[in-house]
Amino acid sequence: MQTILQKYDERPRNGLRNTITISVILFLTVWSADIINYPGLFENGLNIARNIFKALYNPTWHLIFSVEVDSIPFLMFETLGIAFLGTLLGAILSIPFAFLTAKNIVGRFNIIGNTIITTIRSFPFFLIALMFVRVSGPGPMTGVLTIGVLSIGMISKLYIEVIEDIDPGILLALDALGATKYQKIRYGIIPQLTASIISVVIYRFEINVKNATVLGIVGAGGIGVTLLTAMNAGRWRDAAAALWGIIIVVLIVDYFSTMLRKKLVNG
Amino acid sequence: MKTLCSKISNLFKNFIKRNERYRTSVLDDGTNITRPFSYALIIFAVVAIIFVYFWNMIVTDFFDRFGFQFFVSSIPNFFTIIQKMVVQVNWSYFDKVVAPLVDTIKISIIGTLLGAIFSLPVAILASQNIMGKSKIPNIIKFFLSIIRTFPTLVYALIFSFIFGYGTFIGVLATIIFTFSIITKMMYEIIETIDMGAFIAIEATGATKLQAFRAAVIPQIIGRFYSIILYNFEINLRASAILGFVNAGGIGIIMNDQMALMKYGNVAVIVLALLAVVIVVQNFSQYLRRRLT
Repeated sequence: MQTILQKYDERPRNGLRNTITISVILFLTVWSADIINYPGLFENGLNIARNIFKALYNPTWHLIFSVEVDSIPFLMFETLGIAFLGTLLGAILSIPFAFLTAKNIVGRFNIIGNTIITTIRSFPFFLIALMFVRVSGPGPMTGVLTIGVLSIGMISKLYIEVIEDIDPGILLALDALGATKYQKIRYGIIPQLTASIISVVIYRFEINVKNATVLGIVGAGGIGVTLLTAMNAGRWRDAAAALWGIIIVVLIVDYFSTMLRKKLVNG
Repeated sequence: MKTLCSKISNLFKNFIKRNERYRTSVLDDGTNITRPFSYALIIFAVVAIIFVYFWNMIVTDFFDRFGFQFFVSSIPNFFTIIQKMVVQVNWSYFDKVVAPLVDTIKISIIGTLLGAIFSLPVAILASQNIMGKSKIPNIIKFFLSIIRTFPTLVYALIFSFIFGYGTFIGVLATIIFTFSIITKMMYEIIETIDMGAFIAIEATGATKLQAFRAAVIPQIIGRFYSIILYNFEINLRASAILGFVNAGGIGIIMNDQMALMKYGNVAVIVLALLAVVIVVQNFSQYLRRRLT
């Protein structure tokens, strides 16, 4: 018993650290609490909330189960298409960025590339969409371009990690076997890269599907347009149909993306 | 449906088997070597078909309607905007940026903190190893995965029809989004912790709550702080655009100035936001490295 009590007295104490953490959190809470200025319900706010909930149980069924233009399946395919083409565009655009920023290729000059990548990563993406609306007008094409440029930030950052992780030992071994340059790239570099690059691109696709659902709010195509116009016009049942479309498609994409990435990681 | 699936998979397996002799080569000493079947071609074909389908739906359709020439001739518009942002940058506008920027930061701080507080008990209820054989975790996980499908902006959009406009909507949307994502990350962590200590402490006669406090909390608290910081980064970026649906913050003036085509002012907004995001990101990455 004596030893137990002795050990108990020697237990790690981080009283000071905890006090600092808690006081910082408390300070931040108090400082930012005034932002919750409850404005009161909108005129009919409660009614609208009730209507939205009711509509979720009973959305516009014929919009969900048809395949015409402007039906929910069509719009969700359009959203998926925006994310798919955008991700591919981003994956291709990222290649030069990644090679111009990888430390083992450009050395210390990577600061330029790093700055550009960080800027794209933290650029508010609605602004990119609004800039591309001036190029290709409102429509899904704008969404593709936006998603493409937007994806550069994350995809090239992960490409760089992959490129910097290339194991040079394998290339030396292939050299020793007398492999040609083509063979070295085909059997030495590509197998090292494919699995991680594909898994990165799939992950980004998953994020892009979610981004593409809201791009419609600034007129860049996808289901967001329908959601916004239906809500503005008070057609809650149409809006609920769009929400269900988003739920179903995002769940399916989530499931397959997780499954595929698990398979890629485990080989 | 099931028989159809198995038929297709059988067909596939037969194809791989019959294909085997094309992949087999004989070495000098007579041993047979079979290369594994490569799915690359099949995957490539599927991706190509999807690509062509989407390409026709979006890009070809776009060119049919507006013409390729129009597209090429309007690409410079994009760079004109960037050029205007650089040339006409209007520093005197900075005074008007500060207040909305502080609002944005406040929205993400309070949203992240409240979301995190709500998420911890739910994460515990959603962990299979703590709850034993109960069905509650599966039900909670199902609802969480549905809540998680919507981005913050969709919640803000819905709330804007109920509460009008203002930062309150932004806070509410951020809380819901943060709650769903932190809960998921936390139950994934809780489910992988070492339960030995928990059982050992229970065996000494401690109650479940005491055992939880002594054995589980120390294992997860560092990761919990780290997740909160990570979510704060995400929320900061997300709340910058909340203003587009009247949910307060810097997005409102961003939308206005963009509509007025005052690109010089937009440049100031973007630079201020970038500075805050990058500082927060680096600080949070530093803290997270210290925590883990």
